[in-house]
Amino acid sequence: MLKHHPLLRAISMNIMAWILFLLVLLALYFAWLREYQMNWGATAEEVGRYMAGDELHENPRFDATRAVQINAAPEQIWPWIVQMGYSKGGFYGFDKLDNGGIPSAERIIPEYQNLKVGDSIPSGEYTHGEHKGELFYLLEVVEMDPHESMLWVFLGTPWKGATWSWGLYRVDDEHTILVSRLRQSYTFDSFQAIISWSMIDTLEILMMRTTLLGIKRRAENM
Amino acid sequence: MVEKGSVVTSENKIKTYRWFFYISLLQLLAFFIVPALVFPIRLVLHIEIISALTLGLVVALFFLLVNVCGLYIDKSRRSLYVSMLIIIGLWLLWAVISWSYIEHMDYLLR
Repeated sequence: MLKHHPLLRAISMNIMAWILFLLVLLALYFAWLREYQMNWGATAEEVGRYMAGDELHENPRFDATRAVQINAAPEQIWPWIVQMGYSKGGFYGFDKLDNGGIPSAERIIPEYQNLKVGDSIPSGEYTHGEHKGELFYLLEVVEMDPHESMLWVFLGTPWKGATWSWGLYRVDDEHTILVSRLRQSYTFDSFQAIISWSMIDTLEILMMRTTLLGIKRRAENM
Repeated sequence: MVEKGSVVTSENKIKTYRWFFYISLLQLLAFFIVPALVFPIRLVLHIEIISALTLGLVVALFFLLVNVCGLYIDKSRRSLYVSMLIIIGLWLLWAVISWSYIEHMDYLLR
């Protein structure tokens, strides 16, 4: 009997085990891990506080407020955020993936300090096609209050329309809370959307946390 | 007859489990082979490392549970399953340390 062959039974066991395993992981993620990672490092006050751009997504499906305390004044942290961008200061993350392999800056670069509202932030480089070698821009500066807050809006899919808000809250002369808030009201209107948003929802924290800790390390080492 | 039947059942259970183990091992290996075929050479090593620390961990965790089952179902090959558990345990430890101190992990960031 073919259906009693150990290999076929093992294949069906493997499929069943994967389904069960993923269901358990999903249950754990939505019951506990998602809320923790979406608000990593942030207090309830920081999560509930208004930030620039909140009005653009009143009921976002993706609403992540992350915070890190930095042993530096806002004026020492601000330049690191302003110079972020592909081929500029980098994103202080995984340089091979998000900065073309160029190491993110370890110093403040004066020529990248004049960012203003309306500017676009380079986010990558076309690697093929007619625009090969040219920069593309996925972020635009929409609001800016120097040394206090800044709002970036995403221009391209899958993040198009998403807001990335920065806030610097002075604790005392030597301590600041750096807060990053990402918001997007995406919909699961296609299989591609389901896959990409499932990946983003679970993995984006790894990039953002790396960026925030990268800024902290640099600002504290100044 | 009853005893003979139970021996056959037990042998089938072990055979099935071993196939289950090989399929799961193949899935784990495939997780690393596929990116090597898809991504440009200059990025492959980096992608493999990042994969091992993210989605690869999920596959590794599954394989860890498969090996835990092996300890009870296929006792004659316990040393193999223990070795696998040690390797995956070290892998998980590496992931925890890497993500805990990510800002200092230059080999991941550069």
